[in-house]
Amino acid sequence: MNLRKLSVILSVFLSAMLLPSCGTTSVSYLYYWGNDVNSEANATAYEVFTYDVLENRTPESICNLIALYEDIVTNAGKNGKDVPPGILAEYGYVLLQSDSPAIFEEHATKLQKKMFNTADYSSLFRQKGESMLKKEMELYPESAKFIAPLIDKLVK
Amino acid sequence: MKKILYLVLFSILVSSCGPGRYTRMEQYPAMYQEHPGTILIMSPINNTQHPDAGDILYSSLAHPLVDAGYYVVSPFIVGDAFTGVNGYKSEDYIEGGLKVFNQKYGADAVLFTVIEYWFKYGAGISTKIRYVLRSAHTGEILFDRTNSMTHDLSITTGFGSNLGLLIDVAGTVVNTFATDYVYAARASNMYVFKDLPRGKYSPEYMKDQEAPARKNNQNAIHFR
Repeated sequence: MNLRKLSVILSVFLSAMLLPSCGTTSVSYLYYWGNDVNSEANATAYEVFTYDVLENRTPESICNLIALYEDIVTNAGKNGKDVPPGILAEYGYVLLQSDSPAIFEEHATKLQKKMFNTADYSSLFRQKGESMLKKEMELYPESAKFIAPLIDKLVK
Repeated sequence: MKKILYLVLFSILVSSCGPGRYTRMEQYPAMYQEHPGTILIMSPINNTQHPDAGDILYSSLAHPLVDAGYYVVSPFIVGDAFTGVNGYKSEDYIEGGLKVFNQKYGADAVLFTVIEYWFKYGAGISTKIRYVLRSAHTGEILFDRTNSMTHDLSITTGFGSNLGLLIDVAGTVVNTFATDYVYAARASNMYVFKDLPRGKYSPEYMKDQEAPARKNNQNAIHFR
């Protein structure tokens, strides 16, 4: 075997050996992100929906985000994981936006509405929003610095 | 001869994905001295012609940091707070004082990202992103990595989640175009933050000094 052939074989072998280390791997997240597949190949619902709201901020994107937060808060334990730090703060913040109840009432799908046992979204969102923000501070005291002023501002 | 050269180059490129020869302590000693617990993410500095790249990257940064054990001040809330603030630009802070972020948000460190390039070609996306974590207390750079990555997107994947049932399929479902870009952003983030010393909510906190870390300024190919 000449040197040239040996180099080709060696290069191919090296590539084959090293390639999987950079491919998609199974990962175990510390927290539940609204996605039951622990794989790098799958963007979590949290990432995609947050992007959609940042970029488009349509009523439907806001409803999707509220449904996602509710799913995370409700189902994290069932998936054997905790709610990620920061999620309760975001959920509370979104619920307490003045236009959120009307947006949800008008644009949420039947399935999304079914997640809540009431049609009085105004009272529910106000109550739940405040409770989420307070719970975030309780679980993660380092968040108090920016959440306490948020409560003062959003809960009247 | 050309064939050999390509294959050798390919091997060198791919080899950057392998485990590093350094330890986290050697690469990021300041992280172990400061122990930042809370991180605030600044809106990315976008040096590309792709206007959506900033929001795409911004929305994908919290997840890997939270899963690495850090408390991340919600980018969503911070983003809203800064919207409409006259003249607010991440560029103004990347080398400036950061104490205001500690006073207002309790942040110990502030993450800046700079998108140098971000383009789609065929079935792939190429990205080059710099990640700089600076102390909000001292201004010191704690972590600084630049990652050039080529992402192969030829295999399409979905959420794989029962959450799909809750999405309004008649409404603004995020399209494949966007999810591909989100995927590319998260792949780059996950690759870079694999090296990041773990934060206080991680079981590996202060036990990972000897964990392998890659050298700075990586080139990588990522396959889905």
